[in-house]
Amino acid sequence: MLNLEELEKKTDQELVELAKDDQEMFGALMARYQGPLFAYVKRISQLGNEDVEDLLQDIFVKAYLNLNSYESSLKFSSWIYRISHNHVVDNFRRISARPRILNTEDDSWMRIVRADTDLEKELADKDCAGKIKEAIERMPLKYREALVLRFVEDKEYEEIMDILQKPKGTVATLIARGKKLIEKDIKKKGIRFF
Amino acid sequence: MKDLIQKTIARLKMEKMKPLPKWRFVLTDVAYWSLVALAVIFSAVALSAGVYLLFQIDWDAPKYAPGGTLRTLFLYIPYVWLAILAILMGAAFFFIRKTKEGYRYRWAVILLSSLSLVLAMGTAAHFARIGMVADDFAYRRVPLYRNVAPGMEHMWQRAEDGFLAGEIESVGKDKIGIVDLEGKKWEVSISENTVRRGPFEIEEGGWVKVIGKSLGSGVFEAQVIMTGGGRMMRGLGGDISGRGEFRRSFDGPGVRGDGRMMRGPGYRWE
Repeated sequence: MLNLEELEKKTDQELVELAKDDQEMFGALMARYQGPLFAYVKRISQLGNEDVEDLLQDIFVKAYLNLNSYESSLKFSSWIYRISHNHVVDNFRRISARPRILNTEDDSWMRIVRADTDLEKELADKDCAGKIKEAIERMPLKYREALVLRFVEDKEYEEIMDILQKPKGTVATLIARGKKLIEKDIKKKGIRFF
Repeated sequence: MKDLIQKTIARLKMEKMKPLPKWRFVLTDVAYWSLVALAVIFSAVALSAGVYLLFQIDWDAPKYAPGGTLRTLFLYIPYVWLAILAILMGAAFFFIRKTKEGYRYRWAVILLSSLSLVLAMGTAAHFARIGMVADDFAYRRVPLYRNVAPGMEHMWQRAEDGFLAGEIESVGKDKIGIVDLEGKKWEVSISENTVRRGPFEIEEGGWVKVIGKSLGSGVFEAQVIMTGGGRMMRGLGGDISGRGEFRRSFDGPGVRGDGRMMRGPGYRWE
């Protein structure tokens, strides 16, 4: 039985191989990814903490069942983010209604605005934070998740491509359009630009 | 959230879950690639059949007809095969996207690659007469196919539009008697202005295509008479049971021994 220190030194790929024969080893993978995945699922689903935990449990179960589909040519993080993305989308389709919880503590969405330096410089109303947040929450999921992956999760285009299973060009288009949508929405709200 | 890890592991144990075996994922990928291959192969067949039908059109005849070549093009473009080609190419794209790495490629790349493959295979299929076989098969076995994919026999059975074809029954000084493709008898008048085309003499037992004007009551005034060539015998007279057999077994009356009426591979349009 490996101790905590030894487990921490293991790579994701090594843990995957161990987890195939030992469910407890899968716990080590879950420990590594539960934090980032919780935040990611919460951002794109906009559900409350309890609902997100339920989703996350389903995601980990799916990941465990599909361990043999994972190949080391792909980053494990991309692979498990992909499962998370697919599960959230499936969940949306099932429930169709999306309750919105405005989490005022999470200002990670501001990173999307800051990433577009032109947009941030142009904003004169620095107190328009709430409106910008609404703009991001209002946009279709496909744009929001691309923006979240790029600017909040700091994923490279290659990783986003693997997570969303879309060509790189399409990913770039989604991000560009997402930023345009924010700009359009906040201009409509009368937020001043320089 | 430590609870979450414990709960999940407990659930895995309680429900006795195990990772799905690798062969399932391999098989799924193989299945999708097989579907891609099938879609591409049948696309090539559809392309080959469409090209075959296009080659069967008597392009020189319509210029004499009302509406001209353009109308003929619209009437006889092989829409069915084009539609089948489009659907199958769409299916190929869909299945490629379902494969393990398929999502990496833009739709334009997938489309161009598939199209190139279909063009190459379709060309080979055309020269291997697969298009002809596909068309014959559909003509004989698929209900309504002949309604939506009219062949040249349709064009030459439009006496009211000035197109007539059939077997020569009698030859006179300035008229010939023919039996058309539907068995109706016609008296075709020929003048010194009538244009004659084709390698064969006008003689009893021969086959002709005539462009001119129907005067009603089984009388036709010829502007152009063509002997030989054209694909007008589909489904008629012979036993169409396969590519080679169709041609060889067609021994209907009026067909010359070597069957030179049949345009297409093996037969010459002179």
